[in-house]
Amino acid sequence: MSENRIVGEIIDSSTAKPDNSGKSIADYKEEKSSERHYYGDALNDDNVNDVIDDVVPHVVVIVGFPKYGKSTFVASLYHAVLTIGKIGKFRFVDSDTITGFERRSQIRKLEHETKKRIDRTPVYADYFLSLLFENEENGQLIKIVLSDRSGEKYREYAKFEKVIEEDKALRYAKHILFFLDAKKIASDGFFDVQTDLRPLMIRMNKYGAFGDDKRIDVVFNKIDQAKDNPDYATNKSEILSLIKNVTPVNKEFELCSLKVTDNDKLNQFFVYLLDCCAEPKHNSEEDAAHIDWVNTELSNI
Amino acid sequence: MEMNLKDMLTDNLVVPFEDEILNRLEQICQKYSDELDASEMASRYINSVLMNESDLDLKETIEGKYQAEYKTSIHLPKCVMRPLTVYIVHRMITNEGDIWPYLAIRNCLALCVGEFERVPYPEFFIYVVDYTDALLKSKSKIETVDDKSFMKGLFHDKYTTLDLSKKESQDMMKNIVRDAWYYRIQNQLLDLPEADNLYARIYKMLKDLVDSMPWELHNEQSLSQIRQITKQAKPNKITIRQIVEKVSSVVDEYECLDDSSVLLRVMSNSQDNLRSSGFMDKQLSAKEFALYLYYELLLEKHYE
Repeated sequence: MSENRIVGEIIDSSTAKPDNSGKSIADYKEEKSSERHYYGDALNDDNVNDVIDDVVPHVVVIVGFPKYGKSTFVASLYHAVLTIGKIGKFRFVDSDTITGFERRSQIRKLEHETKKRIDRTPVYADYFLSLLFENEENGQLIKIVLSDRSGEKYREYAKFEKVIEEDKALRYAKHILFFLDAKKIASDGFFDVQTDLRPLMIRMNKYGAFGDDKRIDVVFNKIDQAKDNPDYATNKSEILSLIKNVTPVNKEFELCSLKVTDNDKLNQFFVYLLDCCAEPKHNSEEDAAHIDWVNTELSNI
Repeated sequence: MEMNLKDMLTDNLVVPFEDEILNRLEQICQKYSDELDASEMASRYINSVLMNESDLDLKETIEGKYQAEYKTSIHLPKCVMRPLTVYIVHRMITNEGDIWPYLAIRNCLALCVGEFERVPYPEFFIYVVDYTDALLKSKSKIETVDDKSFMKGLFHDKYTTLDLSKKESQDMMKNIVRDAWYYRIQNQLLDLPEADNLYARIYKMLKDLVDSMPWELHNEQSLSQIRQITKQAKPNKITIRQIVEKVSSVVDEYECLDDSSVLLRVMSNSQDNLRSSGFMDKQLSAKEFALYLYYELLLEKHYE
């Protein structure tokens, strides 16, 4: 059995290698995900629906290239949930993917301590993570499901039509979060960001990932390493234009997702995400009045 | 009104079912809805939808039928049961076209008093509300026939032999009987003494009204009576829990025949599970209470 390995390894650069179990990435790809899935690990397309119960999940797809901080963000959310027990008015109740969070959390911790880059979400790793909360004000249960895929996947999406079509959540989820590396945008790496992002946007648009009923947010992560750079504002603006040329953007955020203490902006963003889940599906006033048949009839008699 | 099961299910899942599974589920649901009696099942199923509960029997039934038909198992997440249920009920009631299941579903909406903006699948419930209204109007209509010479003859010993197999004769007699009932019930209700307890009085009057009805669809006359009964009522609202207390002295303990009679259930059955739900904290004015109650009593009378 090859399960339950922490698959990240500390590396000096982006030279991704297979882990030390003797299996190559291709070997893992050929295994059925469900066969190597641990209880509590992240989930995939084959098994994610199994954890849905009475609560309709709010699915957030986190889109971003390697090293942009997607998994760090997820781990920081998990850290906040475990240490405080709640996010704003939402009390943490349960998770079906504790092990999946733990993997990301462990690697975030190593990254923080060693100050080294860790290749933590291999392309073959499962990606859906779920958290269940209770709104303390009204008792409503809300479930957030995060799609945290390897950044390499999004490179593949930009290149190959067939690959992006396998990502059903990207097409059907109502909430997409673009994760961007502000540090890179503020540097010469800005051109690489453009080069990577442009074909991805085109491919996502063609696939039907955007639409009127979707909430598209953009997060500029690692802002602490970019905000003082004079080129950042201009470059950021160009990146935003690139995205907005393809789809309307709901909100923009500037965060440092690695820092978990005294980080109000990050905490406010967590609250925002959960508020999105808790938004009741409101019928229009006209529809609600129409359904209220008793008062319609009373006005006629 | 068309319902698209694929879209309804996809909205509730992280990853949508494959088209093959969706097509199979659609067929299973269609076949199953054809087997069901809407009068028996619509209320129960819609109760589960409006209370945001999954009907586990229905879940097992659909999963069992899927296994039997396609020799492969399927696990239906609980949260897809709401769309599946609405889809089945919609098909079931449109198959039959009978007024009573529509009326029952409309009665169930009392469960959502005060929060109609959160009713799921509003297009379905709007369709039910409109169709019920249209059915009540069309079904309760009796053609007016000139009955002057017939009535005059009765009082002058000039009896006319009526052939009641003829629609014209039937309509004439129905009009006369309805008007006679209406006259009697008006006087009867006028004679009832005023009471401090308005809600108990409304219950008593409506019970008498519905019990005395020669036909359940004398809707126009009944609504006119309800206007009379509640004309002094103030618009302030009280909780259903308070209403239950107020009517307890006039309501006998009994078991309702239909799940859609949600007010009658909490009023007449101290063991009903709605008694321990948030439904008891919802608020109604006396007029709203009267109208909901009237249609519940009507449906119960029909199913007697």
